[in-house]
Amino acid sequence: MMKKYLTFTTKAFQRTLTYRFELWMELFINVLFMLVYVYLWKALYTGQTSVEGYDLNGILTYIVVSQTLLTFTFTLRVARIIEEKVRTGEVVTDLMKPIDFQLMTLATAAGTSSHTALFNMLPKFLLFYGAFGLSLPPSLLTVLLFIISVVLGYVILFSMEFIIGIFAFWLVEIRGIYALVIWGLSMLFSGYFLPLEFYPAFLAKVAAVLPFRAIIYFPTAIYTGQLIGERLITAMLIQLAWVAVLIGLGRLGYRAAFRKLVIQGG
Amino acid sequence: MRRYIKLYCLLAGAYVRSRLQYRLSFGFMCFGIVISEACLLGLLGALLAKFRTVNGWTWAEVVFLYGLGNLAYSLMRILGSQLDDFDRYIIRGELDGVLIKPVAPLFYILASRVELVHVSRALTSVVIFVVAFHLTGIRWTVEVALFTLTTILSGTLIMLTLMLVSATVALWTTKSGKLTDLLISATKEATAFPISIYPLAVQLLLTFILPVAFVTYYPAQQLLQKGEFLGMPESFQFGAPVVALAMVCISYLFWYSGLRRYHSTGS
Repeated sequence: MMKKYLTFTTKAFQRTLTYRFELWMELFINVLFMLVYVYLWKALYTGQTSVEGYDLNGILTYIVVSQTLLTFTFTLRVARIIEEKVRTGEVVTDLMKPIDFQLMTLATAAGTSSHTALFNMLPKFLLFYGAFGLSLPPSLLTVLLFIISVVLGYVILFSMEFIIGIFAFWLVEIRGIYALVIWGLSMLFSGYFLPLEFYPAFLAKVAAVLPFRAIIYFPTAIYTGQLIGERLITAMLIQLAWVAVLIGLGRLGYRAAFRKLVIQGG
Repeated sequence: MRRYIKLYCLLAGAYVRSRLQYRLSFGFMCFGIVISEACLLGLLGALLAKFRTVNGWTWAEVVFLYGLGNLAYSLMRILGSQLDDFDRYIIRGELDGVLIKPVAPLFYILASRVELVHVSRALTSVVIFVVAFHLTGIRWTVEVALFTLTTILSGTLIMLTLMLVSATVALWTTKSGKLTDLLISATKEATAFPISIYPLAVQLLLTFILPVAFVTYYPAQQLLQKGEFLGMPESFQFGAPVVALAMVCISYLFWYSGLRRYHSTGS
């Protein structure tokens, strides 16, 4: 049962390996991006020792971890891939297969993303870790919880993209919604640019009811040790709840889309 | 010349009409862009509410830089979106079709996609820029207006030619993927902040290799009278048009040499 989905994962992983040059360039540009932010924060912190519980080292660690996690956001192309499949009609062959469409998409995305994690995110993080003397998580247990939280955040991001992709069955083009959700709301409320503790009260309140902070802020704050004890457990429960809700919504959406497709194909 | 203008209107018009067939997605796209711009501004606001200044630059001055860079960026997006996924032309063999047309290939490629959705971004940037302009206390005079206009146009050209150089890479490598898009976003991001916050190597990179410092930072020295030159000649504040012109020549030569060695993928 699991095996057939794992095949999608390994195939996607191998497919990504073919474009070496592209990946190197991507890494180079990502590093440039991160440098911009690291130096911005260094400049902001001149003359300040600690802001909202983050000292310079703490904030740089936060920024590098969150920027590294952001890589998933701009390398995951689930929405675009679904849109393309709907437009070309390729989606029909997927729906004919005796497999779950959502799980298959997730398995494929996981293949591409594990490649990204290994060959882009990890080297990038280690480079900055060494160059700027960042901190490690407080304990081994934190490392473990951090990894679980990253995976949960990833599934939330995936489910959002999946839902956006499903809109392609009704709209011809989803770039607008994609820009709105992923480049707009997610950027503002995920905490990739600055920790949510820094937000003005009303923005922080809005962030608290939206799923975006579960993608980047939670795992990052677990890494830096900002989220501990009861608050850490709550954060992970919130992540689990969002996983359930968004995966469920995605399933409902794709079933409705599937029904619509049958009507059109008749 | 007149033939080219007519042709441009014809090709661009055809694309715009085809896009407007789907009014709903067009509207969504415009809306999405405006909201995402507002969100980015919200981030800048949240940041500067906490920290007041970045390296001696006030919040209004940073937004000024951001607006200026964004304006050039959105104009570039309207005119040059086709370069974004230029590798498609090579992978699908469409470039062969373009080469046998009786017009300059680059002209045809650019003209066949004028992306009006980015007008929404341009308008948002104009609003941001004008407000920031006002907040920084710059006085409107004819000279200032002309200088600003030249700066914006030069900035657009600098970004467009960078995009062309990056797209041209695909003539050698066949696939450039999201490279162009990433590069442009990275450089756009870098122009939103005073480059004095970066180490020397990055400053040199943004001045001489990816000269986006001429899109915002150096011209802003003239408009805001900051007097930060990082050891570079003070004349750099007027350098934008020169850099833009040089970039046009270099990128066109690069494009041309790429085309000359191009041979079809044969599939």
